[in-house]
This record gives sequence, C-alpha cells and structure tokens, in this order.
Amino acid sequence: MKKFLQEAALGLFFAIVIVIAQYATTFSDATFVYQGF
Amino acid sequence: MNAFLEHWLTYKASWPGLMRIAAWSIFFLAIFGLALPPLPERMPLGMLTQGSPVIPMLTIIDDPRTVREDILPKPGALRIAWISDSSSVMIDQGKYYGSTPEDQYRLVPQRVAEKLKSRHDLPDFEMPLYLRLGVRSLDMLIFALLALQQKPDLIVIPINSIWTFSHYQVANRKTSMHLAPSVLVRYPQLWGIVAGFCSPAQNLWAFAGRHFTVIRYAALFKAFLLQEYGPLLDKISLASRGPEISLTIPATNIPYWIVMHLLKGNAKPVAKNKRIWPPLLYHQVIQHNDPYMTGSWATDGFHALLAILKASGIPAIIYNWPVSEEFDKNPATRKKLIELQEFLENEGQKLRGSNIKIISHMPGSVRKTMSFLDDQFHAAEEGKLDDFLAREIWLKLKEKTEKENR
Repeated sequence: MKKFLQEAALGLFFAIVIVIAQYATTFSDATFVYQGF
Repeated sequence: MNAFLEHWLTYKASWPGLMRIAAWSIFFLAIFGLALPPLPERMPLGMLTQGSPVIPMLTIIDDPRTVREDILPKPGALRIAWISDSSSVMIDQGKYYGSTPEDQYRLVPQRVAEKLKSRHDLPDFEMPLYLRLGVRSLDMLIFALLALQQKPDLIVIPINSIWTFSHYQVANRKTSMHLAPSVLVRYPQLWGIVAGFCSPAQNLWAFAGRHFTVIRYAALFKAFLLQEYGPLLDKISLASRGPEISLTIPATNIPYWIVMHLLKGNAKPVAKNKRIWPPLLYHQVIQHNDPYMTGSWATDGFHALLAILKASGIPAIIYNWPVSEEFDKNPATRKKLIELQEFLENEGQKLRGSNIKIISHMPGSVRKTMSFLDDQFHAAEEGKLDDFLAREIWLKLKEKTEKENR
C-alpha cells in the first residue's frame, strides 16, 4: 500500500511539473511583431 | 514526526517502479484534461473574413496545434485551398506590417474570391486559407501538405522570389514545426526535415504532448487562465509573457548575415536612416538564391511538393508572386529573378497536361496595374492580379470538370 501511494504521488508530482513547464513556456497570444521581412 | 517522514519519504526505486510512476503521470495528465473548460478557438484574420468564402485555417502563432479544429467542410461546396506567406496581405502605402492592425489588411485571396463570384459566377465555394506572415519554404511545404490532407478541389500556392529558393534563410519561430513530424511521417523523402529542423520539444509534442488535452490546448487555456486569474498568476510568476518576438533583423544579427555571405562584410548596405531597410536585404538574399541547387530543403522540398501534388491528382496553381519593377533596376537581382522565372517555366513545361499549372511570371499587363509598398515586395493594391488569378482558378476548375465528365 505504501509503495502504491508513493508511486501515485510521484506520478502526480511529475504530471504537475510537466503541465507547469508546458504552460510556463507557452505564450498565450501572438507576441510576434512582423516588420516586413 | 521524523519516523513518519522517514517512512513516507523513502522509496526504493526499481525499473518496474519507474514505469508505474510514468503510467501514473500519464493517467494524471489525462485526468487534468477533463478539468479544461470549453475554450473558444482563437485565430487571426477572423474579423476580416467574416461573411466571405475565405476561412482562415491557422491558429494564433503561438498555438502548436497550428490548424483550427472548429472547421467542418461545408457539404457540397467547392473548396479552393490557398497557402500563403505575407505576399497575399496588402496594406496601405507608407505603413508597416508590425504596426498595422489586422482589420486594415486586404487579402489577395479574398479579392480573388470576390472576382470568382462576380465575374465567373462560381457557385457555392469555400476558400480555406493557410496564411501566416513571415513563413519560409518549410512552413509553406507543411501548410500545403496539411491542406492536401483535406482533399480540396484546387490548391493555390505562391512562390516568393526572395525566400522560396533561398538556401540561407533563417526559419522564423513558427509552430508549424510542431506539426512537421506527424504531417511528414507519410513522406519518407521528407523525413530529413524532421531530423534536421524539429527540436526535441517539437518532436515530443508531436508524438506525445498533442494527445493530452491539457497540453494540446495549452495556448487557449493559458489565455483563459490569464483572463480569469491574471493577478494571481502574476504573483506566482506563471504569467510571464516571455520576450517579444521580433522579426526585425536586430543589429546583433548582422554578423550572421555577413558570415552567411549575404552581406559583403559591411552592415551599412542594409540600413537606411538607421533602420534596417528591407529592399537592401532582399536584393542580397535574391542574389544568393539558386533554384537549381540540390541538397537544400528549399529546392528538395519544392520538388517533393511537386511530386506529391502530381500524385494527388488535385489541381494546383503555383504562381510566382510579382515583385516591383524596382528590383529590375539592379542587374544582379534582375539576372536572378529571370533565372527563377526560367526555372519555373521549365518545371511548368515538364508538368504540361498534368494537374499542376505553374505561372512562372505575371504578365506585364497585370504587374503594371499593381502598386507596391516601399519594401518593393509587398503590394498596396492588387490591380488586375485578382482578375488574373480568378480566371486561372476558374479555367483549372473547368478543366477538372471536363476531365471528370469525359
């Protein structure tokens, strides 16, 4: 039981890390300036 | 307390254990996706094309999905897919793309759609538009392949005499490369693009990330979060917008152009009034172009696209976007522009009678009616170009109908 809960908790932790990393590196809108090139 | 922590914070790792943790992560990522509220699609050019047959197909630039998911083809309607870079976007003389609001853009495909209705009485049709400013050869290739997957009735692709056959082009930061692995998987001749140009993050997104709702819709969900919980996210520094991406070539990039032999050892020729002046750079890029060079994805991608288009049997019109006569005043540039036209003319000859028509150059009678911006490439007014292209499209569609009826 201990191992089961630990592994689930670690899985949750990594899932949260993946999501935060994804959102921290995703822009939410066109932050892009086009100047004719 | 210590005994409690010691009990829970000690874990003896094993390979099966790590696999189970990975499985839990996948499970939780899938569960997080269920928590996402309904998110409206955000796309550029939406306001501009309302009520017209033109349907902007691409998402905002930072959305790795790249293509909108809320579009269903209208049953029974003809579909004319149009792939384009900024050449199809016209703005007023004296204005710059960076500072011109999108609702002041005028789109060549939209003008052509109007002509198809008014002059050629084309019945019910849709024009899915894969247009993004600043895209280069590989993005255009991926957009064309994406459009082909939708099996349109006709596809229109412009050739950009500055960038299409430039072997020194710097690909801008474009999310189309997130789609490259999944789009190009069908074409072994193009796998090298995935190996050479897609970052590990883009590959990971293509093979794993996009299958999780919480990651797939990150750009849309983040916009929603910022709107609802902006101040809170600011506090925990999750709302940082990142640096502004600018396509203006900054002074620090000049050495790059020199190293690539696109500038002859002196940065001054591309600056005018202390501002990088596009035509001065364009001339130098054009003078280094070579449509006959092999072993470059610009040319190899073009030939692969021709072969894929031909095999698809879908009628295609590839036209060389006309540029201002100002370019002709420089003999070295003029020579290269003629070389490109001759190359396209030859390719067109090889494809005579096939489903692909290559328009190697715009007739002078069309070009002289157009007016160009100071950058000598983009147009301010399309003149008779819309009439010309509408007629070419109409003829190609007519040819297709005749073939089908035979």
